[in-house]
Amino acid sequence: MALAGQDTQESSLRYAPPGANRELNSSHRAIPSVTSDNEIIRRSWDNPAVFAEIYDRHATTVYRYAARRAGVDTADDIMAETFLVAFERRNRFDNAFESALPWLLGIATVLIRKHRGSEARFLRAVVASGPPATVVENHDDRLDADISVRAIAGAIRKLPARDRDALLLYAWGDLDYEGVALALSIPVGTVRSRLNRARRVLRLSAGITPAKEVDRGRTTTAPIIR
Amino acid sequence: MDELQQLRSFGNDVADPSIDAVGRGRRALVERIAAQPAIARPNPRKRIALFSGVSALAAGALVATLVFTNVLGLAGWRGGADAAAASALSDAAAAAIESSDPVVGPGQYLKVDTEAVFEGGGQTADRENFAYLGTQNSQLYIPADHSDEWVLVTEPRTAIKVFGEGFEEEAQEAARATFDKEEISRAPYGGFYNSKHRDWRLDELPRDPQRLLNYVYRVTAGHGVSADGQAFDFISTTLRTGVVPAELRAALYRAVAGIPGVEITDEAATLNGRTGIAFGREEKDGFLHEIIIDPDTGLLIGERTVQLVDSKLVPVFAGEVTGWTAVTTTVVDEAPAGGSLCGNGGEPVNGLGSGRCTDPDRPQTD
Repeated sequence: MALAGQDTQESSLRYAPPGANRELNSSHRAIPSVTSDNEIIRRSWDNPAVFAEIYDRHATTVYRYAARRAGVDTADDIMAETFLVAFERRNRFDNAFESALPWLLGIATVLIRKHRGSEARFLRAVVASGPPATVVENHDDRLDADISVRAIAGAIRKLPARDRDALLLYAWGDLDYEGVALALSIPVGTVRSRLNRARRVLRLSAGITPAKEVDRGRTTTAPIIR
Repeated sequence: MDELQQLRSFGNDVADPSIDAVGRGRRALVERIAAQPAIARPNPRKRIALFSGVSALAAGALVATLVFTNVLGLAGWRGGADAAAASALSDAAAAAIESSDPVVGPGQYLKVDTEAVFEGGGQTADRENFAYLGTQNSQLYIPADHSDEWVLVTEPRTAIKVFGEGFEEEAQEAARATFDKEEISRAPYGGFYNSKHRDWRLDELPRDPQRLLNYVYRVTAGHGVSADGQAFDFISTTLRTGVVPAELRAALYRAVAGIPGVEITDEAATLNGRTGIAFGREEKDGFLHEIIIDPDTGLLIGERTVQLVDSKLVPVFAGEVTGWTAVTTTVVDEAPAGGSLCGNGGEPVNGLGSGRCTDPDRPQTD
């Protein structure tokens, strides 16, 4: 693994050289029917204008991820800034990956860290007065959820930044282990240990005992990794 | 509900960004792009047509204010393909209607054989850029009854041409990274890899060429480099699925005749051993995009992309064919055996429609 250090992304916008994570890619087997992100980005090396298509495809997803982490006010800026950074770094994108989303969410994550104040304020507000709105399908779960969402927000706030990033890229960015690894330029094994640690903290603060169901839920939602 | 489900439900009702915010972000990006000199220079040996086509953004605005139906739209009033191309497209459409589609009987399959080549590229650890042409071949077997199992055979990928010396290994590695061995997947309704049912939604496309082209302009508005280029791309992408019935194929050909900038770019273009007429459109992005049609049968042979400028980062020069897709559709009695929903033995991960599978080659360490 070319990028062995676990936290080189901590202080600045740095990414692994393309190829570093290449062997991680295997579950993203999109069957090509339209031009894929990597083709567009490759073309944008020479023809920058085509890069706007990447924005059209992913701006909303980046926004939603940013809004859940740092609130809607900051999300507008992070959405816009993410694509400016991505454009400047477009020849660093690893073309072996068809989707640009992990890469974009990785950039957004670094930007959110710069807006750390917003994220902290947002989480403090949730802890103090509950979530802005909670969607829980099962009514029986609602009470339980309202209480534990506040507990969870408190736990997220206290997590070390690197564990928080991995957890929220996984849960809110909807990336799999490989996607999180790519986004943060860290090995998959490191993603797994950060997620395990973060989930343990979460479980404890939300008062969830690791019952059998929990264990099963975990192994079916977590991709098997090397 | 475990802690992860709770975390996921927290904030999943967050609204989409406002149209204003999306517009502001896009403008900022477009300005940044415009401020950056293009890496490539137009090659004076090769003339590049400059189109007066409206920009994608302007087209979006136009479409939003002017076009509400497929009847009244962009098609027509901006001109169309050049006369020779329009006439040849009309002939191809007539031929398409005359030749009947193959009928898939009970127990049989429609086999779509796709041989594709795409351009890939990357950067080595020393920050040297390289580019290559890689294969992306597959065969899709669609059963007569769509609820039966569809079968997809995906061939291992390989780099067939490397630009520049000394990057052979990197190129092969990059090409293989996404697919290094043959894989057979099977799923009812074509929901391979735990994804949603395969539906090209061809029924939604109008069969009248003028309405069809209006529809295409409407759904592609605001995307791509130019409105005309994106319309051409939509049609080419639809055709290369290999599942377009004859009457729709004819309508798509006639719709292409209504796109400004389209001309005959090669009277005898050969792709995968078959020869036909290439209809192409030079795009401002420095690429010529072509569809190749057999004039006798009206069948699509495939599509092709030619680079019109010299790349500065990698030794890919004007005139290089940087990608193509050849499509052959036939009816067969059998599909290959073996494989599973997730290819060679993987398991679905997050339930139906997640498009994710575990990798059988990776020992579970959890």
